[in-house]
Amino acid sequence: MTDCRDQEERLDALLDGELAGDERAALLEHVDACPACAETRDELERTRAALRRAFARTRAGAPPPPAALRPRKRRAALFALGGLAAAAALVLALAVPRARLDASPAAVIQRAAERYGKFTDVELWVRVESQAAELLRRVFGAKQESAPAPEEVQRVLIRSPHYVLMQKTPDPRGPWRTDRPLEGFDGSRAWKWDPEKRGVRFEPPEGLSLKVEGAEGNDLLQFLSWGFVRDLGQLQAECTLAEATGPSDERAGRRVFRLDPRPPEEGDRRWFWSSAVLTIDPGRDLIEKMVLDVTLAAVSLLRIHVEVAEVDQGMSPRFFSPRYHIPE
Amino acid sequence: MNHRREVVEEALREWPGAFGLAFHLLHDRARAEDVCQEVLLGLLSAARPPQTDRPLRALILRMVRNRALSELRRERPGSLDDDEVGPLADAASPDPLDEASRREEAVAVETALARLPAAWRAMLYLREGLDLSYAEIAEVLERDVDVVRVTLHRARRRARRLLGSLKGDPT
Repeated sequence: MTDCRDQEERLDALLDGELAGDERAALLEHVDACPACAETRDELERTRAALRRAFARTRAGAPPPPAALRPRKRRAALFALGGLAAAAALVLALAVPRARLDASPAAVIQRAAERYGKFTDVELWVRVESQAAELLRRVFGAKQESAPAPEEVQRVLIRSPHYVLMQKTPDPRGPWRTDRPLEGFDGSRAWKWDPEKRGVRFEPPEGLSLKVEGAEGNDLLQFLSWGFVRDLGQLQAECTLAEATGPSDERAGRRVFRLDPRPPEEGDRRWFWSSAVLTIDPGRDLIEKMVLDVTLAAVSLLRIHVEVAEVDQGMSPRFFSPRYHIPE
Repeated sequence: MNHRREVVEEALREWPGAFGLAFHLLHDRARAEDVCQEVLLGLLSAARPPQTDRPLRALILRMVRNRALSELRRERPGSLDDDEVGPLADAASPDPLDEASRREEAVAVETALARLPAAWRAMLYLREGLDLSYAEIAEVLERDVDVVRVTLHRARRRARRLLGSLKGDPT
């Protein structure tokens, strides 16, 4: 009996398919001749079957995978097509919901970001054309370098799943990944492209702390707008600034200012944003928060050109889908 | 090969299995889902592919297992070693089927599993739930194959004892 008890562990291994050769043959022979071991084997099998059924129920009852994973299957299928076929498929995928995409440039960018940015690193290269640059020049007056020139491109790098990085570059197809230092903000942190490591390095902003309120990662219009107004001093010079500190702000030791851009001409409706609210920490004299109250009055004047590229660290982006948005 | 693509494809395949592993360790659906999401999305957002020669499946399962055990330790500090005895697993406790005789087999099995140490449940799940070989289980749990064999046997013996009255109904 003692010997047979010792066989239990080996019976388990036998049923698991982990015995081979002579050892397996000897044990099988023993079980055939030993009723006690045969009974043990049957019990082991029953336990095993019950456990398997229970575990299968667990797997069957698993919740759906997170949204960031689910659409990947479709994307993976597109990738599998390879080359031109994949590009064509992506263009089609963008073109199908055209009516919705054309609701606004923000929607174009947002849609593209939602579609692609959740799966992997992608870049949206957004070219703002037409009157936008002229408008921004008028907003910023003499300091024209603060406004993007028509040929400049807002590069929006979406690092899945949460980061949104952006940078303005005049030559997006140039060798910027290797010999041009890049830097920018993702709304709360500064980042720099490290050409040696071929990666993005985050650094705390120098002397400035900014948070964009209400932007849940991919609110790209806010980021884009903010990209235009990185020179805050100039922005303030061009705007009327009125203190709007409320009682709760005073209790929290904050000063809040309402910032209203002054139109170049009275009645000019072509504005990116109508106002912004800056929260200033008087103790540190830093702007803690800037909330842009975005108006879309001007966006119908824009032509947005969005290109979607997959970013593979250290490699040039591969372009999938040139896409033009020309609002009515 | 873009490692994220590879990770996503593997993660989609492994999602139910990974969830099951986390669930049987934590016995809490919401927390199990959280653990799996954290692990898989963490892998996805990593800037570089995991530096390992191990199969991605084993890596994902091991990360889920470790993350779930960390959760358990936070909730219940102390040892979670294989030798740990579940709080209700002493011989004097009533047979689970006494309580669950009118219930489905599922309830009895769940009751029995709940009385096993978490590490044993994980091992049983990897073997019976995911059909992993001893070598693969050893890979996931970072244990020796012999330890896997011995522990599996002990876990099954305990489970069998707890399910003692589950007679008949062979495979």
